[in-house]
Amino acid sequence: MNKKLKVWFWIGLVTIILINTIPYLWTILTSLKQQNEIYNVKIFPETLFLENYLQVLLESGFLKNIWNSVVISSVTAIMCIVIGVPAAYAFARLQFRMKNGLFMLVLFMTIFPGIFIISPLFSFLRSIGAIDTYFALILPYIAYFTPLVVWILTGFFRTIPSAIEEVAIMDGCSIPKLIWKIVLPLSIPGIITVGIIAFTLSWNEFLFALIFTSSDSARTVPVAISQFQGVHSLNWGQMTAAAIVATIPIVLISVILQKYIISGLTAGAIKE
Amino acid sequence: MRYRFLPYMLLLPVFTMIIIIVFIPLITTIIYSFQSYRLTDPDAQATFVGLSNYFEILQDDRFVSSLLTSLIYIIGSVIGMLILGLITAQIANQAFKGRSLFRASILLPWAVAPVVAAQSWKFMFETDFGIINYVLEGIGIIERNIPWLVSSDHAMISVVITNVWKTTPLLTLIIVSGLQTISRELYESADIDGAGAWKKYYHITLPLIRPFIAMGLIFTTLQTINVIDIIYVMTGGGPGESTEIFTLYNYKVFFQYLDFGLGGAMAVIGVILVGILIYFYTRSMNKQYN
Repeated sequence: MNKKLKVWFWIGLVTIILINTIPYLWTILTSLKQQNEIYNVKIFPETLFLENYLQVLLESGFLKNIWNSVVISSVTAIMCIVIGVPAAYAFARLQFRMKNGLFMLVLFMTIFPGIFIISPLFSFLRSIGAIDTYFALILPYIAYFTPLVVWILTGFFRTIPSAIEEVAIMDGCSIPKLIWKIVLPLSIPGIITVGIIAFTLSWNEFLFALIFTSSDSARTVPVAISQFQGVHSLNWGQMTAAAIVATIPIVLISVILQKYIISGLTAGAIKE
Repeated sequence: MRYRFLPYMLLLPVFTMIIIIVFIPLITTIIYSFQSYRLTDPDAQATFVGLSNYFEILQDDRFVSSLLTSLIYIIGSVIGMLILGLITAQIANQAFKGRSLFRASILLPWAVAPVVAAQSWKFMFETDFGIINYVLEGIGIIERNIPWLVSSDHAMISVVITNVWKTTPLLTLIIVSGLQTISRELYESADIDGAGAWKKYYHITLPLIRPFIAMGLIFTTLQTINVIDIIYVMTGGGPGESTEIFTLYNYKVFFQYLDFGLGGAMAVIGVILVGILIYFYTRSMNKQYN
């Protein structure tokens, strides 16, 4: 790079880091401020005001919302892996009719807007009495996030050399046993990646959670945050504290394991 | 043959889920669209009404304007995402100290829930104590506070900015994976020819990453339409109906007006429009290879 280009490079770099981080950093700062500091636009709080966090965690139903999200997202992530691994193996290694068509269908499912199927789904869940239960969210989440898991894992499995598997098959190892004994241990990084991605997507999902829950018995974090204002009448301090509590685990995991997540999010984009 | 049915057995669980949660409801939505079916009256039975829901929705000014609003929202978001995504990807693809820190900052907006992103930006766009007006006034660009989210002139740009911030990382990462497929030799031979940085970017980089851009745009555009969270939280579609995209309006017809027939017709039209959109993108993606 020549000198002029280098200057532009660093200007661009710093600008983009600022764009990406400032909204979140500002939210953290706001959560540590007192009401009057917020309304008078003080950049930094004079003292670290932890009251917002205490009130969010102790005096509202927010802990219950977090617990709901933890259970729903964990079960979803595990089920996505359990269902997704065999399917991804089939797409990556086996030859069968309609393979390309079915794979395109999986790909299409990852981007199909939920709003177009939500009303019959609501009627169905209501008719079986599942509205406002964990089941009402876990079921559609598995259906919606497994295709993405399949897509990422298929790309991942293709990068693993298949020589060992071929030897195992010649020795008479069955495919299910092969997946369990050879493919899975070799794919731990990929499995962790899709697990985190499925967990994050369920944790952040809003539309299904908004419509399929009606009380704190199953309401998840995003819905609680969207309705925060109504209950607490525009208390931005508490609002931002809740936002930080709800996002900090995911943000930390993503930042620490960024290498895996980036490889996962782009695995399918790379052609064989 | 031994494995004749095995592949289908391995695919069975995921496709069972897709059939139950997506296919059957999609067919049911199509059936709803030909029925008069309102949940407002608990005793009401769904009755066949032919195409009347479609006639009603196509004559609904609010529906037509919501399509227009969606188009503005998508075009604004795509322009913003392309500019930010191409620049970010170009930087992320260089080798420099602190690159992993830079990449971590890219992932931050991806990891934050759309609802949280919306609340954070809503707070920054506050008219009286928002940081954006505070800074703009501080450096002398504006004299009076701009009512970002409460005036129909500024609400759209505010939600577009928020969506661009939240959605660009996915596009960026896909573009980066495209940049990594380009061999260094291409640039070296261009160097010998004495081509400048811009020329190299325009004639070598851009054509080669085009399929990746198209694919990234399919994902991010669909996410833009699909994730009503941002607009729902920031403006609720307002002021007036200035930020009401058609998926948000569809949500309201379903769950505020409880009209599953009319909503079904909207959804069917939506599926068709999304199909056209994807066709449009994949065609521009394939052009590259021909």
